[in-house]
Amino acid sequence: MSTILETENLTKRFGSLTANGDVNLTVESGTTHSVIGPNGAGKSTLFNLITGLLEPTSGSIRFNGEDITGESPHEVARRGLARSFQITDVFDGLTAFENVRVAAQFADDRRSSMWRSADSLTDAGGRATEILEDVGLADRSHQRAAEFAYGDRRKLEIGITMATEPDLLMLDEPTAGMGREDTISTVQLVQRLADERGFTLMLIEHDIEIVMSISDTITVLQRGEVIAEGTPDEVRADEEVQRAYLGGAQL
Amino acid sequence: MDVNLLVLQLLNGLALGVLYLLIASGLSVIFGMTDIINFAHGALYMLGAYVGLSVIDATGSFWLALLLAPLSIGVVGVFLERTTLHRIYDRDPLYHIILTFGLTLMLSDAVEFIWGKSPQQFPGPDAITGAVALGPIFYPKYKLFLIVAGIAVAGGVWLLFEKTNFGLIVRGGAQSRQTVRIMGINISNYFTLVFGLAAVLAGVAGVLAGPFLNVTPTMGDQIIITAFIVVVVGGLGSFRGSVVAALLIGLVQSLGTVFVPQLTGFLVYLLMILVLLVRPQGLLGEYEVRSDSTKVTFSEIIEPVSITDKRALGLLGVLALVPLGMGSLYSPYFVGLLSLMFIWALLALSLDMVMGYMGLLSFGHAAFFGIGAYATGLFTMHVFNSFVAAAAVAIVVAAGVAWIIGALSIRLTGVYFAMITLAFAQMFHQLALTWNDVTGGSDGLTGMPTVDLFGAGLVSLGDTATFYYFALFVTVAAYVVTVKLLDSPFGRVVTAIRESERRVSFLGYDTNVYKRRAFALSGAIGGLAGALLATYQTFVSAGTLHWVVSGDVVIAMMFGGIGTLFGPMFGAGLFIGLQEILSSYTDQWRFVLGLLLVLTVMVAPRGLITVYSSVRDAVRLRMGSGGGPQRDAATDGGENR
Repeated sequence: MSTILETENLTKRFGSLTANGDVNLTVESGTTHSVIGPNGAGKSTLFNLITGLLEPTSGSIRFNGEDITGESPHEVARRGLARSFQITDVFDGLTAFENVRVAAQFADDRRSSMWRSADSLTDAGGRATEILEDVGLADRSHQRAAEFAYGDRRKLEIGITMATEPDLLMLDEPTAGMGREDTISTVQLVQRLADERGFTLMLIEHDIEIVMSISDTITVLQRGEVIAEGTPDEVRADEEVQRAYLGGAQL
Repeated sequence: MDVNLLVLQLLNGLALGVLYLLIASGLSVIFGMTDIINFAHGALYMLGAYVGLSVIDATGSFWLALLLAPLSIGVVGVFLERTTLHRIYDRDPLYHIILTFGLTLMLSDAVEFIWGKSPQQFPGPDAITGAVALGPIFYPKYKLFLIVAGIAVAGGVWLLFEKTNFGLIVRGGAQSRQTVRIMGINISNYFTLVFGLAAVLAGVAGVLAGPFLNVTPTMGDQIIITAFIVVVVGGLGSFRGSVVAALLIGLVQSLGTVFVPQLTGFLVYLLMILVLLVRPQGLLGEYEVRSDSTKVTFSEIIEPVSITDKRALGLLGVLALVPLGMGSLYSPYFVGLLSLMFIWALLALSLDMVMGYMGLLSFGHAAFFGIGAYATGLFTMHVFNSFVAAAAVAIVVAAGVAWIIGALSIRLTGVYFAMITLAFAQMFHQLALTWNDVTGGSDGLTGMPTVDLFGAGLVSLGDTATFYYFALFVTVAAYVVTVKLLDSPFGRVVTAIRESERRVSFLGYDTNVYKRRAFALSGAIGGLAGALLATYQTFVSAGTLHWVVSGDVVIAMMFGGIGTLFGPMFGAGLFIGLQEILSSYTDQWRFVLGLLLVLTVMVAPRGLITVYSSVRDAVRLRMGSGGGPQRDAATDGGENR
């Protein structure tokens, strides 16, 4: 197993507030890696730092062995790192198909061509259709994203991120606001796709039971710092985690 | 340096700044609460001056005017808000601009109708005439009074917002309408109150400005742009920011006139550009403007009509026949007017590409139009009389300028982008006005030849019918190319940027590259429109570069139906055509045009191209036959966006 993502002493301060302090994290290729922690623990900040939305105060980020610290989001994305957002971010005014095709189109050399029809990029179109089938939105591919219900918009965003064929997919609370059943089916869907398509999955997730059942590795954040990292069993057994995060209750 | 002069100009700047403050604070508080860019604010200020004038004529008392005029403007403001804006708060903010623009036209015209066009004397109060000695200098008492009174009013407003319950609710509403609403407060009533209060302030400014500046029906047009600049420089929604910026800009203007007269017209714009580039949120901007407050969104996608569509071909067929009836059915003037409509359609097409498709609010498209026109004029005069060559130069120069403006401003979005493009365009306008040797200054560029299409006498475009066909051809060709362009992979990325730039960049696209390119392409089409305009007029006026042209084309685009390419073209053609035709029948054409704009916004959410379907749906709904899609009647006002 090789390391796909590694952060070293990653720190982000907003004024006097330390959102992330000396975060050292290692994500192994082909695994499912979850980041958990109470609200305000710095999980989203960590994602934002890794994907280039925020610039770290100090520390470094390595992706596939290369230093990507300080790169802008599109540069990070080009390296094969895709992400979703806590608040669904899809192209509301476009159809589901166009949403995914714009993402799939990036892999094509003709992605910026001005003088041919977008429909002529048949590879991108084909992949978009395929992905919409995968996420279960194929029959509604010509509906505008704005018309989709909440859960379907989440799925669409996952589809968009997958269309870039990432090596690492980072999902920021992909199931936030979903009911239990939706949550389970969505997570299973993502994991199945990760297996099929061979990308590494990193996610922020609140439902502890789900996290425990699907993760290979779990990183626990508290007040911006890593207090534990390990397999579900190790994290479950960690006293500090129990005290700090789980209020001392037995998992 | 002459110290006396400095003190004098400092005081003048202060007086001017106080006036700006009164207007800008109203604009700012309306924007902060409702996201509405209220174009009508300048008209309310102007109306205030005129009502004040009438009160003085009737009673002879300035003080009574200072009391009654603002109150009546407040009433007018509340009335306008209740009858129009209040009903469409839930609509995309861009539509509010066209509505308030329509109201502006109506108000200016009503004022012209009642009080006449010519500048009027506004007598100041008898008690404070003459000058007072301040050390070695003499200063008009009235201006000192203006400074003190203005500061007092502004102070009162500040206390109202900071120290009262009313102010707390308004400030809270600016942060989150939803939260305020959850607390059981009917926020939409506060929208009306705030609008009324802002109108009162505009009225106060109008009366106070009366004895100080000229009272004319256009006095509002001049000050509204400065007031916008104040709001942006100070920081949107920040009252303290407005205070600082208003005084700063007043001082920069008055000191600039004396110390760097050659830069007078540029200073304010330079200041704004500098502030926007260094500190986009403004000097004291406290919170980010809601990023979606000026987002271009549509409730339905209307694809551009294909040129091979039956209706399009039918229209083209009719247009192709038009010159045949020239002289018998109608005059050449009519054919020429249609040509002018094509030119404007082209300009609107260029704007829709960046605004309707990419979501960038350009308020400076006059720059490309004017640059294209000047380039064509100068080229045909001094280099070679050939439209093809001149237009190529015009296109390249306009695209280049657009690329540079784009590169400088591309990090800004929404209102900020609108303001910085406005500033750049206004600087070109100033340049055209002041660079006499080249541009002919305010007289315009005269002495242009009748332009040949190819040069050396080959196909003269001076012939009305020839030019008509040529302009039609160019316009249709540009439309076809633009439709194709937006259907390309590039075009799909551009459209996705409109929907969510962040999402696009996280897919790997460098969005700035796309934005710059699209902006340059749009500039190229704008330049082409300018080339046609110069050829049509064989004259170029500096007015082509004025912000009013940028405003007109934005309005025309919304009027027709933004984001559809053909809608804006119809809108612009009709807008210009109606102006010309209405003005030949009635002096009150602006009122009619304004009313038309307001009604269109109220009735048809997506502009003219949807009037038919909207009316049909409304009728069906009323008839109770169902079927038509239900549209929210939106009496509640202002959904939390």
